[in-house]
Amino acid sequence: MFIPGFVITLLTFPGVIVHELAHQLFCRLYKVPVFKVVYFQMGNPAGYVLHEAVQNKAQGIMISIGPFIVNSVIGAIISLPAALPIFKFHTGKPLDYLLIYLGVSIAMHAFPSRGDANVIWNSVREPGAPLWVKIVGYPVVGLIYAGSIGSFFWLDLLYGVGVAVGLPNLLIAILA
Amino acid sequence: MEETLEPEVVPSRDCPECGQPAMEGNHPTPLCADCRQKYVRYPIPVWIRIFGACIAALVLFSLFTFPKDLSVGINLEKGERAEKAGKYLTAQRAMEKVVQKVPGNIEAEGHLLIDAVYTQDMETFKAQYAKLKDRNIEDKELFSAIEEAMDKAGGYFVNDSFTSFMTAHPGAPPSDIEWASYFDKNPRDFYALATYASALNDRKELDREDSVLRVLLSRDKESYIGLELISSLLREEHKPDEALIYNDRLLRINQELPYGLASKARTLLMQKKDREALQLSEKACQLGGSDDIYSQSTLALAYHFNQRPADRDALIRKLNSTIKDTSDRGGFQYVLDVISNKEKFRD
Repeated sequence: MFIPGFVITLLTFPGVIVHELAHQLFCRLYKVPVFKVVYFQMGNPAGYVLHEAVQNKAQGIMISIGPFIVNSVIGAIISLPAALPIFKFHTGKPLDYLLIYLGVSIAMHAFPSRGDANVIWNSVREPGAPLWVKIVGYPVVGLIYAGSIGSFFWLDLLYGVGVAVGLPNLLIAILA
Repeated sequence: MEETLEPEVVPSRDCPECGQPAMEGNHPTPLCADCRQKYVRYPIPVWIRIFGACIAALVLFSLFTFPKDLSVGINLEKGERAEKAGKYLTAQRAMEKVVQKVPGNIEAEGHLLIDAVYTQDMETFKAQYAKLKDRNIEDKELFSAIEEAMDKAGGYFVNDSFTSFMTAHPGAPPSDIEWASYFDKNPRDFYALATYASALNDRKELDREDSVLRVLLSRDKESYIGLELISSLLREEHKPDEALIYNDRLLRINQELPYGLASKARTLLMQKKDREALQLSEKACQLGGSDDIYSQSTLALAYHFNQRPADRDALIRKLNSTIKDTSDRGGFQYVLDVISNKEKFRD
């Protein structure tokens, strides 16, 4: 089924905001000046952060993949108490459905965008980039591009559902 | 998404914001210290702060509420796994915890009913049946497992036909002809078959008891009561090797059935495998608790054959003071008779 991207973006806007906020907070953490932040807009991209080019390659990579960490963790935590009542006990209440919606929305925007991948790509290709940055950077860029292509096949949604629904069940399977 | 601002080609290193000299250092954008700090702390709008606070509150809420759900989920998973492994007591305990925290959860309530049948906990079974009889169970697998358990439970209950049959013979027990006539009309009354087998045992008609029990087991291969009685009968006939086959059959259905464990322990004692028997009877007592007189009596017997007279005598004293039920007293007396050599238990 084809659903226009802007509809998905609109429906999952909390994830976009968290994604951009995560970029901004990582910039703040590494004391990188930020010149403009668009947390959400009806366009492509749905949001972005304009910041100074980062000299430190590792910090650059962290700023780019920060949302992946933040969105995944927040998405997982928010949906934790809701996934079990809905999918395991079948006793979900409206609040549980709201939490699952937020969890999936936030987690599905964890994947860095192609713009983020370009930033990492440029960082790792620069002469003088340390070897370990190249070792980490190239696969990360590859994965981001794969994720970006995969989003056409709902990979981002699949990831969001996996984090929000699969993780609690996986936890139980491990701990039981 | 993020975008980087490429270093500008600026004629001087003065801050374009305020005209002050730019900060020393290899910064791509020439900004004075104050302006750099201002851009590092690029303002977050109030609505984003409120949004962030809401998300943070939800994260905290989730962190506080999740442990309860996690523990329920773990118990549900543990219960289902234990049930599949034939550890029905563990399964029942886990499901009881789930039902306590999520009352009305049809999955847990259904599994608890099944577990109660296999642990022969008829009180819980009746309570669960009352809760579930008018509920719609959509899970087909669970529904069929419940139906199977209900069918099995029929073998443990006295039904109306059997009650009428027994009350028609208040003074003397029914004759064999009357039993035969009853079974013609009620071929699937396994409870009645087991009762008849017990009556034959009381009359010391062991061959006929054996035949009746084999009929019962041919109709219900997993009949607890049939497997329990036949293993006991075979021990009585001093055929421990055969008894062990039925003990193991019973334990394959429910690994945690205290009676099954204690019965196997007695068979092993008869085979002079005393250490193994002691371990099994200890496990039976642990699972059955202090009310399980059969397991406790078996443990006394195991102490006896393992040359632990002090433990044996202490347990016998305890049992003597606690046993009130006459049927329990009879079984316990048999153990006392074995210990005092009045009854020959093994060669």
